[in-house]
Amino acid sequence: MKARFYYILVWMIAIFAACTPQPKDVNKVSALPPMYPDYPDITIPYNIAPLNFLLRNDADAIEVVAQCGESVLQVNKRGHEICFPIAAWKKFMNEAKGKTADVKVSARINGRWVQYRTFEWQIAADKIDPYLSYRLIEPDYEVWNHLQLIERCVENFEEHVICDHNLVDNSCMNCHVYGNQDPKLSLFYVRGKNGGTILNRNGKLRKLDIKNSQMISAGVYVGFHPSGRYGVFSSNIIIPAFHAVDSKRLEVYDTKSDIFVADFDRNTIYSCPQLSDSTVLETFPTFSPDGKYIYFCTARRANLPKEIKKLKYSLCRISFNAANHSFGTKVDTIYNARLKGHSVCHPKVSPDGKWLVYTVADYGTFPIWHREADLQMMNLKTGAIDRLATVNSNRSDTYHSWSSNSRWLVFASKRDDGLYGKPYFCYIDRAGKAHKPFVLPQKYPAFYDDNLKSFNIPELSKGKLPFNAVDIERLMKKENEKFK
Amino acid sequence: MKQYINQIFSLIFGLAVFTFFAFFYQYHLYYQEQYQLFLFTGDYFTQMSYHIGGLAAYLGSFLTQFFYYPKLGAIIIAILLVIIQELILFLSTMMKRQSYWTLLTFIPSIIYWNMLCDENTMMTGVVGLIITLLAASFYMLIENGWTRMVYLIIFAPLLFVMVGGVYVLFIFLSLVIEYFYFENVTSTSAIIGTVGGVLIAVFLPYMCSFFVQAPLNRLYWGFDWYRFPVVGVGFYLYIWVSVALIPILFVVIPDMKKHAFFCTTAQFVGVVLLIVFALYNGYNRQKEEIMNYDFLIRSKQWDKVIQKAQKKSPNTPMSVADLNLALAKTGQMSDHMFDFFQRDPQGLLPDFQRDFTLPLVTSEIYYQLGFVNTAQRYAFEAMEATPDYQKSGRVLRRLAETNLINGEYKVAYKYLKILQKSLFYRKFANRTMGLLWNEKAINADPEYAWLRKCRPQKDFLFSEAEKDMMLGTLFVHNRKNRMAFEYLMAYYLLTGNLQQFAKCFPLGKSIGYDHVPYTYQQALKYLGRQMKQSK
Repeated sequence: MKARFYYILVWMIAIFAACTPQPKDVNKVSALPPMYPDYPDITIPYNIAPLNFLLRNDADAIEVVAQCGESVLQVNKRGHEICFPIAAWKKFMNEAKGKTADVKVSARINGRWVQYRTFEWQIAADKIDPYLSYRLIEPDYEVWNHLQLIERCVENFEEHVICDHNLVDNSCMNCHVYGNQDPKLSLFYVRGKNGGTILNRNGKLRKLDIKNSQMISAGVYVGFHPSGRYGVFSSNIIIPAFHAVDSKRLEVYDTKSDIFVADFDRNTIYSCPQLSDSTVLETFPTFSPDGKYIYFCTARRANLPKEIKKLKYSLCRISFNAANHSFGTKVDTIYNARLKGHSVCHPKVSPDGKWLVYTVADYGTFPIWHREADLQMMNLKTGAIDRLATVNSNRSDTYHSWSSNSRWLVFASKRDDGLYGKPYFCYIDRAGKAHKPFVLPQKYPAFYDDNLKSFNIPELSKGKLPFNAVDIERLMKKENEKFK
Repeated sequence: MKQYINQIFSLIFGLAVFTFFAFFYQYHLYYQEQYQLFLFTGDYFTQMSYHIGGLAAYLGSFLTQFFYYPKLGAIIIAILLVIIQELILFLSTMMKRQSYWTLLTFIPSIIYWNMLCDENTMMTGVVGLIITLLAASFYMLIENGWTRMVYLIIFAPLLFVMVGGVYVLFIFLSLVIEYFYFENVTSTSAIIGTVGGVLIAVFLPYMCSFFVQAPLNRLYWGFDWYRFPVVGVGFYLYIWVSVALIPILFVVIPDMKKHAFFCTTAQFVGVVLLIVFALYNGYNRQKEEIMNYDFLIRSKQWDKVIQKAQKKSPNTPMSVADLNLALAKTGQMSDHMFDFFQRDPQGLLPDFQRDFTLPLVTSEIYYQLGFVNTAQRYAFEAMEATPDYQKSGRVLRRLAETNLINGEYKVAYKYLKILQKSLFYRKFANRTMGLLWNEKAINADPEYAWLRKCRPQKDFLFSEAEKDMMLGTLFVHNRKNRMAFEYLMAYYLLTGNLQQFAKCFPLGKSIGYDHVPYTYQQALKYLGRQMKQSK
């Protein structure tokens, strides 16, 4: 009986294998495969989830062979989509770690097999932090709905909801940020009636009302001090406006903004005149990895919205002493907007303290809607600026975050269609050279075609968050902790 | 004849429901359809059915897509309400075969008819109720007590997943059937079934709240029965209680065999009175009128809008705005605008509201004017403001068009690909797909080519308070844009700014009127008189 079972099984496997299309009489072409996402010639971390893709043509069968020395990953599929078996993918990636794999794609179109130009996957031995958080939101104007904060494991396709609109009375929620890429140190805002700043520190959740009488609004942009005790916040009066011409959609600008530091141990807010000058707009604060400096962007107040195109932010820094929570008296200008002609947003220093990546746009403070917005990387030792030509696209590239080992950047890019932002990963090697980025892989290759949401503020983390959306729902029922 | 009396009543009821929705409430059905987009994809099924009550929501959405043709929608509603009545009739008559109270089984369907008069009542509830009644009917057909017990305990949680909170009705009806139909009061299976059923009814949603990201109250009551997430419990209770009570009434009320005629007549009169009350209470003529205007605008039937207004002048900002658009599109605005009731500039270009209805109308106006970006924004915001977060076929179509006009072909492609997966927007999507990246074809399309010529070329920031400035900029960009000129002049007339009106009046030369429009003549005469007096 048992023998008969195996006999049938072997036959079934043989029939199945015979049904799987195999290339024959292959016609080689010099073009790269018309694949989506754009995965040819990229550098990927060895622990990334399978790079499933589809061909944008009439292929009814595909063969993919990835080869690295003796290791081979081969998949044959009917249709125009390729989904790699996760176990085989992981095995191959581990074997090819630190090497380069050649990838050969063949497709059957109208009954004829075509083999495209072989491309490379450089498989970096530097691991990417395994978790990524982002906000899912439609690229809307003023009205929001159905917001979610999501945590996704980039090593596979698992995701879970950190905060769900259903459980917070459909309130607006802002993006989730980590301190030191540590899952036990993170923060986000839930707005609305019972809203507050949700702080996850050492795995303990608190709901804070970080506002005092001197502040013009609650916190907006935020960065953690490496100790986890302090957070640096901006408070902004934000105004949305709408463009009339085709290529532009939305403009968001601040009419007022200041920066302050909140002490999470003493529930106290600290500021200094250099960071809360009423004639100047200060925003996008972030601590240096050693906690000794606060980097921020600043611009002279202009007559808005008329002079919106004159609103250009410089990049500055001021020292901070965590021991006595005091600020320096001198403000250093790192990037002078007046001289360079661009506006700087979202500065983020790499955890090893060597690089500073920021966004530049023609003007203003909301680069996500500026198609010219690009990332730039500054060598903090030499001051040299890399315009990251291999990384940027002709659409908005912004909202970046570093991995804990300073080797990977994730950023939101609208390069595919100009409207829907997606998380792209980019390798920065030891010499500081940036490699061609690739989009977050999805289980179903057509996912991004049907998806109507943008991925906002992608942030990497070393581990899984210790809370979920139900915990946040319960926290929302509690009173806010006041700050003074 | 006598043996078919129930079927005849059901038929008459079905015809009444059909007539109402097909001829007196058809624009409500159009309205319903435009706020959702059923897609024939596995992903859509997964997305819809992934949450509690998702199967009912999926099937409800499937049925609602046919409201694109209101008569078809009316047939569907009529059939579903008759099915509800027939299932309750089946359950009730099985309880007590010789009952003279069969007309009572119409009560839940009449209540639902009343509820469906509200444009925010979704088909999810109707489908969920039918699935629940089918499950209860199946319980009645199981002979073995232990099998029934297992069926109840296993199927109740599954039903919860499929239809949401209405599963408690299944548990309740199953227990009623157990005790009154099978008269199985003391057996172990009945006791276990009762205890298990009650525990499932009370605790299942609560247990679920630990794993499912949904508010507890909605887990208990249900999702997607109403467009807005928050709705009074009465909405559910009217239906649930009426469905639960009817089979019990069949058992409790005496048969009245001796007074059968009186009994049937009294019920008939009662049912008719209930229908009259339900429709009197539910029918909203004003909303139907507004929806009618919106439909005519959506389908570009400008003449019909004016004909309708000539019979009865519209008086809500939305319908006045629709009428003004139709007047402008037919070249009658400058002559006949004041033949109709005019409110204020809100009846011309309504201000933005965080709402899912008004911005859709305003989007149509901005689109026809040539403010393509603003039309896109209003349409997008309307879809985003839809309380149940459904995608809208109408809005996606408009977004595909605005992106096509703006040359954002990749975004237009994305929307068209989605529309291709629907039943009634596929034709539009297939046709429009051929225009992408084809400048020649777009410029040969009269509507898109014209709007490309009209849309602003010089950037400015939209300002609700400076609509005249924006209209002026639009007209100066294309002096053949008669609609922009007439809206600008109408804006000045409605705001009483006759100085500006007189200043801009000469700009109309480029349009080539064959006479000075009647409204403008009056305004100029009035202004002239005023100037004389002031001298």
